[in-house]
Amino acid sequence: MIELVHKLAKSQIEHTLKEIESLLCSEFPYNSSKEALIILQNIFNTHKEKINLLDENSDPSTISLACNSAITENKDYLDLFGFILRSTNIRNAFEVYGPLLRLCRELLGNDIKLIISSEWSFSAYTYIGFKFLSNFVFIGLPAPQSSNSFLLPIAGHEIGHNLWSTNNIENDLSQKINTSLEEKIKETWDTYIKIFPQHKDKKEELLTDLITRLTWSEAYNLCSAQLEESFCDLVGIRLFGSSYLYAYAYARSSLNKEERIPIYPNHKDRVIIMAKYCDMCGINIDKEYIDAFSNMAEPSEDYQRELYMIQLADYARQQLIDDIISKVDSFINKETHKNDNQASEQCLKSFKMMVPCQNSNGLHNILNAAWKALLEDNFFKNKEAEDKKEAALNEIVLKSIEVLEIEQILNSSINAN
Amino acid sequence: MIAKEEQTTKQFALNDPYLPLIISGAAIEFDKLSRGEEVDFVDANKLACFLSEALESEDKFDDAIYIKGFDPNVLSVIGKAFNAVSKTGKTDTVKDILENSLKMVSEMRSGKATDYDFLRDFCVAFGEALLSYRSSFNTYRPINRFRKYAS
Repeated sequence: MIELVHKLAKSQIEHTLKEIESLLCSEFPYNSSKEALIILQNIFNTHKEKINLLDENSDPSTISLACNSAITENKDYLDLFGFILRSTNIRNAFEVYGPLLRLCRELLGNDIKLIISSEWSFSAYTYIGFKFLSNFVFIGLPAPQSSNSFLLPIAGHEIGHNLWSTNNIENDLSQKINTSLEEKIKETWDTYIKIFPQHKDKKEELLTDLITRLTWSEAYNLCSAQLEESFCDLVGIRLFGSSYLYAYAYARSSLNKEERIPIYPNHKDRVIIMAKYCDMCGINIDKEYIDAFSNMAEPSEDYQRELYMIQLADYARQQLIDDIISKVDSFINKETHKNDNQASEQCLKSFKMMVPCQNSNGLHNILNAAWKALLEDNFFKNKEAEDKKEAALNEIVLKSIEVLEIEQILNSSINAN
Repeated sequence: MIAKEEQTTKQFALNDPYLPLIISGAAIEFDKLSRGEEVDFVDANKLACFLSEALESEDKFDDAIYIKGFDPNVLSVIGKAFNAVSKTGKTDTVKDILENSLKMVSEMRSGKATDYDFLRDFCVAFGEALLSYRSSFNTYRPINRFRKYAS
């Protein structure tokens, strides 16, 4: 059987490498997609080399591990190939590429490469944790919305994931997460021993006994994931101001009735954290906005263990919100990303005249004006344009982003000279 | 003898995609060595660096604060691997894991290991525990409820 596993793994990796070769023949709108594919090709070539080192004399469990590792990676990264392929699709708003890349480089370093693509999935997303692609930012928007400029502020959230992972923020917080979880478990000791009766004598060894640690490691993972999501929301707010809030509501406010996904803070709790940060940044957020969200259903009472893990994670996350806020403020320059009301008003005036704006002084000013225009009744005097307001505004916003890109290129060449 | 080149400065991360490659590469190297073949120890050395970066406490060993700051996932994956290959009974405490791991890293680095089968088996168990950790964490991610998979 092990010989068969060995043969099948070889064959799978061969197929993947062939597919990569064929993807490399695509026409790419920018080099990053091709560069990512070449790195992936090297990874799978290394897997192939390892598998080829094995022969009939090798230890069967060693053969099995090498084959499983290769196949698991094949499974995990397959959708990244699809993402890279779809980055070539003309449905993507290529106009935003330059300004977003500039933003990513400002926050994450000059060697950052960006890939913008689309996915047949409801939510925007990013890929993180690919350390061999650590200087890549992947931003995927839902396919039907991939050229919808009103959703662009969500890219701020996705850039947040890269900031989180690049700066190892979880490592900085792990001690506090552990301490908060220990504190909460001790406080709810009766519940803990009801769920884990075999650990009733381990109250003082929650952190030091390996097996006891395993009982609450799930809460640690959930808390860390929730903190990451909140951090990303706050990055989105810091980078895009109120337009992030509207884009978030556009994407998420209709999901109140679904069951909660525990890697996120519950729906309303998440918005309350955002509101707190908006207050600190001087961004107006009205009560109606917060009231549009309600908490999603928690898992059923029948799942005591799951519920308890979520309660622990929620508690620890609440303890660390101020740490998250100070992390955001330490990574993003408040002055550079301050809302420029004057520039935003200028954009709004241009939109009203149905012309792209100039001297917008940043993507955030264009997008904040775009949302303001979209939400204003009778924004266009022309009835025909008003009837198709979203589509008409979208066109002007994308053109304005192109103008911004040209201005930024000109500015950088003037500065270079 | 394990070469000391390629000291990696990477932070230990269970999600590092190079990690499975390194672990399986190290298992292959120890397997070849136990059969008397020559090996270059590239992956074994990288694995030793990975483990020491994850676990070496320098002046903080035995320090309760240090233990509090530990990612429990790293401990549980390495702990599972030790328990799968242990000849001396269960590894129950964080301190046991730290001590056993550092002893093993020092054996890998010194080239004075007497039991290459044990090192190979540890790598296999570590690789399997890692793959299992990754797939279990992926289940937290939301999937489309209408999408059904063959496996």
